[in-house]
Amino acid sequence: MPRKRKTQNLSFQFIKSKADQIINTLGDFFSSPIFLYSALITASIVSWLYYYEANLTLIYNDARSHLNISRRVVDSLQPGFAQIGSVWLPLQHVLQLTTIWNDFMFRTGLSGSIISMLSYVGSSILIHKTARLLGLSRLAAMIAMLVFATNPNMVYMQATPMTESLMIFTSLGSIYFFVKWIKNHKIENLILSAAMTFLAILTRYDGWFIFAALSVLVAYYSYKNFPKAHIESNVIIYSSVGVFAIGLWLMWNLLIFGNPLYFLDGPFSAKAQQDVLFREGRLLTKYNLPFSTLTYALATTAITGGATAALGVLGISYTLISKSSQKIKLALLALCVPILFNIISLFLGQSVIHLPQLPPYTYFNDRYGLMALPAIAFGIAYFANRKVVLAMLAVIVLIGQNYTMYKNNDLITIADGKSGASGYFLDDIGEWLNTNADTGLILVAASSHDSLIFVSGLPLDRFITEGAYEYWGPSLKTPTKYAEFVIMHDGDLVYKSLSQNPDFTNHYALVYQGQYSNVYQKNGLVPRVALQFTPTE
Amino acid sequence: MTKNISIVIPTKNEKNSVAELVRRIDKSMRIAGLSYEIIFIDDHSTDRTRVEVQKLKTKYPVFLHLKVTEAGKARSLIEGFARAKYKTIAMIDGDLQYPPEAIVPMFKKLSSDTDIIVSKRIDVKTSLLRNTLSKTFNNLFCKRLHNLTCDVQSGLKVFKKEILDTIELNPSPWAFDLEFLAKAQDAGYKIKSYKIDFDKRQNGKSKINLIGATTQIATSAIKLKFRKAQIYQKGQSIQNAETQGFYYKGQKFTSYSKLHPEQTAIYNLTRDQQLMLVGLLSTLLLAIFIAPTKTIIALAAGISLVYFLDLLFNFFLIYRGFAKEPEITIADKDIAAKRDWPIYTILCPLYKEWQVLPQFIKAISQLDYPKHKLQVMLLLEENDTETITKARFAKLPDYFEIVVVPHSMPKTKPKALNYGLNFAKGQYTVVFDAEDIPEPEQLKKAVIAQENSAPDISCVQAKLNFYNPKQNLLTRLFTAEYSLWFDLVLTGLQSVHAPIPLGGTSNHFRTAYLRKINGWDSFNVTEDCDLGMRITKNNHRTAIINSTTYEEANSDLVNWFWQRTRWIKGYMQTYLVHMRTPHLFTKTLKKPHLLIFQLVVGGKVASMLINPLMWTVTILYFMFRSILGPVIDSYFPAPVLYIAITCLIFGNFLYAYYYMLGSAKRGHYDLVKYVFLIPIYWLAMSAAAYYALYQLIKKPHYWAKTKHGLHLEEKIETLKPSLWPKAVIEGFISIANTAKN
Repeated sequence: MPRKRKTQNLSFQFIKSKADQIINTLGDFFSSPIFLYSALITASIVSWLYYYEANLTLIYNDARSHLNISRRVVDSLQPGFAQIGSVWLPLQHVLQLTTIWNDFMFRTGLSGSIISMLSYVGSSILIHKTARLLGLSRLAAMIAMLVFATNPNMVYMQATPMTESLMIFTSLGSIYFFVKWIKNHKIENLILSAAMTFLAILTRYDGWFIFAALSVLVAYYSYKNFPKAHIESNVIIYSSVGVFAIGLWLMWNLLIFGNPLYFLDGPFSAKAQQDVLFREGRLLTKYNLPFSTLTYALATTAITGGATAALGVLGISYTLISKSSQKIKLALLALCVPILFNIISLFLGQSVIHLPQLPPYTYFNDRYGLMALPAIAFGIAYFANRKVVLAMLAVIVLIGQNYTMYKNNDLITIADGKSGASGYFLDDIGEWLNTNADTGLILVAASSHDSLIFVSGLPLDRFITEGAYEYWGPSLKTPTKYAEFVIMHDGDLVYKSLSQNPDFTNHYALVYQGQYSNVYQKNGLVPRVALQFTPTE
Repeated sequence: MTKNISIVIPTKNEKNSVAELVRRIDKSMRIAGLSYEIIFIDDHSTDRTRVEVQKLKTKYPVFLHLKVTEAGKARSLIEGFARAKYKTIAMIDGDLQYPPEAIVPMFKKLSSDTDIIVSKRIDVKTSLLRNTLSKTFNNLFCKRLHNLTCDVQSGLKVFKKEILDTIELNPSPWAFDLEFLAKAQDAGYKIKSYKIDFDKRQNGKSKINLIGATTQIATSAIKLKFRKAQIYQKGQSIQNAETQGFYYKGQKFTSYSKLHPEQTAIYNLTRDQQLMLVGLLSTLLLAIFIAPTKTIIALAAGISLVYFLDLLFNFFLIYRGFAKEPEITIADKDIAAKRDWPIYTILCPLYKEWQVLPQFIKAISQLDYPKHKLQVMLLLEENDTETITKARFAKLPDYFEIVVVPHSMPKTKPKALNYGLNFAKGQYTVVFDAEDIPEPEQLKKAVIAQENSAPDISCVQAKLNFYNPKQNLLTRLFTAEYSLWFDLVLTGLQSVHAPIPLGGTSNHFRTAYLRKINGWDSFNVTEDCDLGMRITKNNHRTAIINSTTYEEANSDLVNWFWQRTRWIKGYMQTYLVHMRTPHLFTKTLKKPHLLIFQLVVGGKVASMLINPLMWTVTILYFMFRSILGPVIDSYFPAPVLYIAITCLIFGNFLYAYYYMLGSAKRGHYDLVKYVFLIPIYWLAMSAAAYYALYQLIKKPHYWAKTKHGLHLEEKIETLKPSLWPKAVIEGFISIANTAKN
């Protein structure tokens, strides 16, 4: 018997060691950069092809605007860098310039999608690397990466020319190098963190908040771990790059618009948009912290799925209150900064998110919930890192959640673009222009109609928009001198100037009535009586 | 002085005056007891001049030579000089306007420090036109252009014959005098004047076509001014010009280096460079005249492009400085290993800075190197008697030697180093400044680094930093600059095996190699930078080692200004010297040495000169945008504007940021915040650059000595940041006063 037991033990040990060997080999393979990059790039390309074929990559009005903005730098009545404007921070548009000149890249939106796709791949890798850097097991790091990379909303958004993916990548870059710095105190990591923050600041205003938060974290960590002179040195080396980025933006606004704060209080600013919503009573989060928190929590849940979000929050909470190391807590705090930013923005009325389950019961900007995804991913990873069983549970939850979301076609980011306020319904006019506007310039406010400019498929140098400042002002006074067509709906910038302008009212006639806007043509055949403006939403 | 003289008389139709002339010469010679010969060179006379001269031959030591070359007095003289047998020559016109009796007193005035006597006509009895032309000519072409104060065109001169062996003459028919005197003066011969009465012509008539000759002489004067730069050795028998000295522009120089003059900064520009510069400037002026707007746009584009390249290059260097850490690191165990260390020569040039000598002795005695293997040479200047005395009375360790460098020009550190190199016994040689404190293991590290390195590494450079960074704001900013340069830029350059401008001290050489490449350029005021480039051109390299020498940061703004002026002037010299043979940078086409040289040496200086211009344009643009905006915009079309703005904004930010990084990398964390004031420092650098340019033209070899030991003064007035602006103003006033004086 003992001999048999011994043989059994030996064979068990043999099997166990073989199994370990196989697991290790598999682990090595799945964690190898070549596999990770290949898998992520494949996933990214396949999803883009899928959503492109489904005509979903450009459903957001903003997506088309991002493409138009870059394209106007090389193709408009007044080409030049000034066309970058101040509506959005410029990084996405500047990066798009490398390919936007190409018609295929512009019309397919690939010029912007590629940036999102690369950012998606980079972000996934950064999550994996950061997790490993923080001491998480290979499995936990892989789970963190999978939570992010397989999230259906993320997979969809990375196929679009929107800025979320780039924002996540630059934020994660800032955090990754920050974590690396607190691990080895090498100044080059602090510099790289600052460089990534520089990019984040020029991507979205979320980056500004990340910059402020990381500056505080750098100061705090230095205060705890370095001599006095070193603290100020670290803070200056990190933050001067961010201040420089903000300074650049202010200077840009000053140079182009004559006001360094134009992006903040100009007519196309987020504030101007939010003020309208506030007056209309649709900005319910303003000065309402519980409602703001609830809105963002629900947006996050809608993005990640309820179970995933719950698991993530559990992991984050446990890690923050447990006896984890200071470095891990700081890293998690840094990852949670976007959540805090979004809630504060909602509370201050600087941002707006509408969800179908909350008043005013519609979709708008629900993709902002994506910003919480990296934090959720790390929360789940910490949860999974505790025990293999918990890791298995996390994997099951993740698979189940994603399966359900895909199966039900339950992607809030697509719903928002298709039927929410994030997608305007101007395609009909765009298509009409494509067929009927053979010659002449078209006067239209890009701030409210950029989407149709893209859809029309016409060269952008046929449109007189706000950025063509040498044409825009004169056209609004005497449109007959410049514009063959005028597109407007009541309340927009063109309407405000032309609705009572005899040069317009006497010489233009309505030629097409769209769902949300109308097209007028100089000396049009339709009788003048048609110039009755139908109030539009 | 011998008592023989050859008298050369060019004639053309002077039949009525030659006999009288010879008779008077003979009389004065006999009275003075001088032997003489008279050589007549007759320029195709059509009267009886030749017959008259032939007659004289029977009674006097007269020789008649019929001219064979082209017409004109100059050629006559040259032919005559070739026939002169005595060591002193007199030349006199044959028309008796010049008193031949003056030859004797002029002859007597020749001495060891007087080589040419030129008669000065004081009572000129000639036509008003000729008189006026002569005066104008003298003033414009002799005095202004060639710094000749004598009566250049005077037809009576007495001089030493050796001059004709030293200089090479190739005059146009009427332009002998100016060329002869200008070249003789350049070769270091001394000219003096002797006043004479100038008679009205008694016989015959002048052979000169006044207008034609004047034009010819004027052209010749201008050509002479822009002739190929030349050095002269007095007497061709001297073989060792580097130790015996040579003359250039009338000044004697001793370099103690066998470097060919074309490889040194003795000239700012060679003739080819002058021609190229004139060509470039002419093209530019022509372009501005023909198409001013397009030319300015092209200039703006060119400058912007260079800035952009520099921006990218520096970004790359800083990245490499962090990412690669290419410096050679020597482990402690290698230093501690027992072995036979080679003899090491330490060269320490000292000039009027005896105060730091005790500190230097202490620093050297603390070196972890067997002292019996050290040869420490204090290179003291002969005229610095105070330091020599103090050094002799100081208790120098027995491995110290005092070497007195003979007084000569140029008075530069590299000349002293070249002198010292002659006596170096070490297998390795290093240069330390007197105020230096090298880290104790530096010599051992340098030996190990050289032994373990590739054979093409012939110099290792230790890093330099300061021991008094906190003395005042200036030392703080200076330290930040040094930290960036040595800890990031040079290591970045090393990582790509690029040419490295050496630091002034702590460069360790294989002595044999140093001798092979002829040591330092004695005329270059940043001999270190020049040597670094020469090493690259010789297909060798410099490496950085993980050892630091601590120096004294200049704490006085005026002192700093002069030091910086010298450095920038030296960079200018280095640029000009090495652009004479740019192809030598491209021996290996794989490495863009020439481009890097342009950026690191040329670009660095150019940017200091151009920066203030760009800053001014920017400030004016923002201040007066409504008025100046359209004008400035018109010179910056979109692509140029984008590049220019990128350079302006990112360039200025990044350069300041690099200073922060350099400080932090070196561990000077407390200096980081002071970098916000670096633009003031840049302005001061630009001011120094402009003064350096002025000095390059006016005093190229002047070595503005940096005063050391300021940190040793008992009561150091620490400049607080708030007081700095006052200090800056006072500093600039002081600089202005010094410059004025």
